[in-house]
Amino acid sequence: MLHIAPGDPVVTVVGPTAPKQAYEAAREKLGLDKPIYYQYFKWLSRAAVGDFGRSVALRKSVNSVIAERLPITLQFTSLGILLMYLIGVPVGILSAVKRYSLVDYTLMGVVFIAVSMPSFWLGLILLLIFGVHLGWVPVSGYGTFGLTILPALALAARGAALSARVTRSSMLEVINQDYIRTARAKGLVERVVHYKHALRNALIPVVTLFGMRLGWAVAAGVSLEIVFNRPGVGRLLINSIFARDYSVVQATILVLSVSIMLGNLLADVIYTVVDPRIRYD
Amino acid sequence: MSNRRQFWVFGLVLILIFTLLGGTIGFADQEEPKRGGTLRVAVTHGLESLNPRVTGWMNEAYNALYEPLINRDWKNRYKPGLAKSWEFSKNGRQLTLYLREDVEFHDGTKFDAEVVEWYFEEFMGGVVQYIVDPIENVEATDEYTVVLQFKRPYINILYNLSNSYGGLVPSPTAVKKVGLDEYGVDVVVGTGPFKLKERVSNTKMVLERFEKYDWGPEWSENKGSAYLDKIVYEVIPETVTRTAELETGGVDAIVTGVPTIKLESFEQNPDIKVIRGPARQLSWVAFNMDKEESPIIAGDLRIRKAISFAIDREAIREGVYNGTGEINGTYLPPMIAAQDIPEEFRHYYDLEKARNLLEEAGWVDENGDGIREKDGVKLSLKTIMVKRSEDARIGVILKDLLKDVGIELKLEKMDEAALTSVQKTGQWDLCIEDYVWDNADILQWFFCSSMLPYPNWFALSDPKLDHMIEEVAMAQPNNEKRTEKFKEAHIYLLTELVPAAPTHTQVKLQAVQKYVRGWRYKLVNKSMLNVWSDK
Repeated sequence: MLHIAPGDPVVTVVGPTAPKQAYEAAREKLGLDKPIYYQYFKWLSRAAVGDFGRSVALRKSVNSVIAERLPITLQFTSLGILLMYLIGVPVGILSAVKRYSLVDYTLMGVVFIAVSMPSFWLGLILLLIFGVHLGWVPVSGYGTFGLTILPALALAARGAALSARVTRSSMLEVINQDYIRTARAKGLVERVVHYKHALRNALIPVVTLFGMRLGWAVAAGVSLEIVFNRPGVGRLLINSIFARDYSVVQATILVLSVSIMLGNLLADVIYTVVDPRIRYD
Repeated sequence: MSNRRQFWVFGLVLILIFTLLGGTIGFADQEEPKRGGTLRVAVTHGLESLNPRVTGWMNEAYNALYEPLINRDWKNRYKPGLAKSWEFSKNGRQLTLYLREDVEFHDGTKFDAEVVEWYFEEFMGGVVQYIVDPIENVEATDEYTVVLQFKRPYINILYNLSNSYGGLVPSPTAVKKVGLDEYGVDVVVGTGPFKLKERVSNTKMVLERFEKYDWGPEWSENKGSAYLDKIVYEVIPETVTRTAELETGGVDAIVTGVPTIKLESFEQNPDIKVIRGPARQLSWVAFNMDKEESPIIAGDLRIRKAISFAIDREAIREGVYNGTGEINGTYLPPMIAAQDIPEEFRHYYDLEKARNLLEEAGWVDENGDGIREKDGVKLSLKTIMVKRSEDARIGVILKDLLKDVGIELKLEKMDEAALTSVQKTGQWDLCIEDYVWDNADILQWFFCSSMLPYPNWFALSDPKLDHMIEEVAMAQPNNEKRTEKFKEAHIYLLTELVPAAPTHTQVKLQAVQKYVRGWRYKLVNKSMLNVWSDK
């Protein structure tokens, strides 16, 4: 796709005013004079042994650039995903347990607003309130907890709202099952009924959501890295697309895809913990 | 009252007056600069390389790390740099540079004539090739003297050597050690008052004081080592984040990308000072002069003139730049001498004139849809520009303005890489663009046929213009004559060729915290030598 888009990485190397000979020499050196399938397979064979080539815009090896940027992205996305569940699941449970009460309506109202807010917009609002007006946290950068919490919250808000909704509906479904009525009939207290018998079964769809949310978190993380000026892989990807830095774009997308796959694998493993009936033979 | 008492009263009053004046205005600017501290500076773009041969984008960091052969003072006059003096031959075809003898690079190597010889013969090229093209021969005649011979009179070399794009000299030892391609990524060695400590690509760059530095230029108040311990350049591309960082004290200065929309709030903020430089970023609507690719535009001078007359430049200044900047209706920013031409040759807003020109060219609205036609062809033009830029906002206003005279614009917004590529393919009619340059030679850069296909992406090829610029104006042996000849070529372009419609020239804006002292706007080669922090 990037090869079809107008723009030329050779210009990044030699400048737009380079003479034809210098341009052609650089094009040959970068291997861009070869057919696209040849370029792809060459890249694939190198990537298979962990060599992603060299960035034409940053003039460094792609491996070192990604190694520099990946921890910055992981830092706030992992906290964001953790917050999604730490906030979303309890809210969903509370809402289900207190269904059709004022608490339920209030929580679901907040959830509705959170679901409707784009992450980058919430990021800007959080930045203006806590960074500019209250001055509680620094506005941009990376490294400390203060610098990680706002982008993590902005990332978590929508995911937490969705988790809350799924947890609530799942809990309500489970609460009406016969075995819950049986649990109540044998005299168990409500707390045990909800948390021991109902919640574990209700969590299955929430875990499924985890795998799906990872991809979304990666996408939302790109815009948040720009808003909070975090030089992670998302910002790297955007800059590389603009510079037509093919090798970085390919490697970044591969890294992000692998992390999403790993997330889904993790979700599959969590299924067996939540529901011991699930076995992968 | 006795004389003695009068004397004491008079004396006391005098002391009181002097104390008050001294405390408020007299000595306010004479504070002793403090050494130490770190200055955090926000910029919009990362520097992909700190190699002056490679990069097309530079900022103040370059001038803190490197020094030019010839410098310019606060008033932009040529002053000694690494060359303590120079001498032009009468015919303008030979320049002798007498070099400083007390300069060394950050890596401890010596700066001498051999370095300068290497600089012209081996280092220069890439994006700065145009500077060395007119040079025929370079010869070091002794340890600190270099003689340059030119193919033609080349008075403008003073400008080129005093500019960030041409005159910054790196250490040959450092360049040879890592190679021309690798130099500037992690290894950066100049003679400037700061040296590179750390660099994270497109993210941040840390410079630290070069303790040995004591050859500050004559225009600088500080001639010894810098006051600041460190300067940290932070790349903050998002406007809201960048300005919020300044307002909360997260950064001490914004040197590129002060949005005009924040000007009023910054100026009212007691902790922030806004610095305005001269107007030098010229925006224009470029016309595709390739008759095959854009027959409507390239084929008729009257259409190009009509478009220029239909542009309400005040509306653009208000709508896009919040009333800042200047309008001069020429192809050169107001600070360049060759823009100073009689009023009658400048482009201005005149709707009636625009309509008359279009009628005269045979374009009329036959079907009443508001858009003119001729021989069944609609006057509809593909207009390209970079998205998320001021140019894109100009595009929206322009679309409305040209609709008033029956011209339809089809706006296509794209990223910079795509724009450069489309410009080269020639598949466009109008292109909204801008440039930053402060020398009349930009007319050669964009409009002479020797610059085809790029940077003359306008595809203009006119032998008379080539002659006026390259053989007459650029070959003049002194600056006065050079300016006069450039004025003639400029007028010819504005009246007979019209390859663009100028819109506006934006001023350079910077914003710094009040505790940042010694910060003055300087057009080129601002070395940060005088800046200190009173935090």
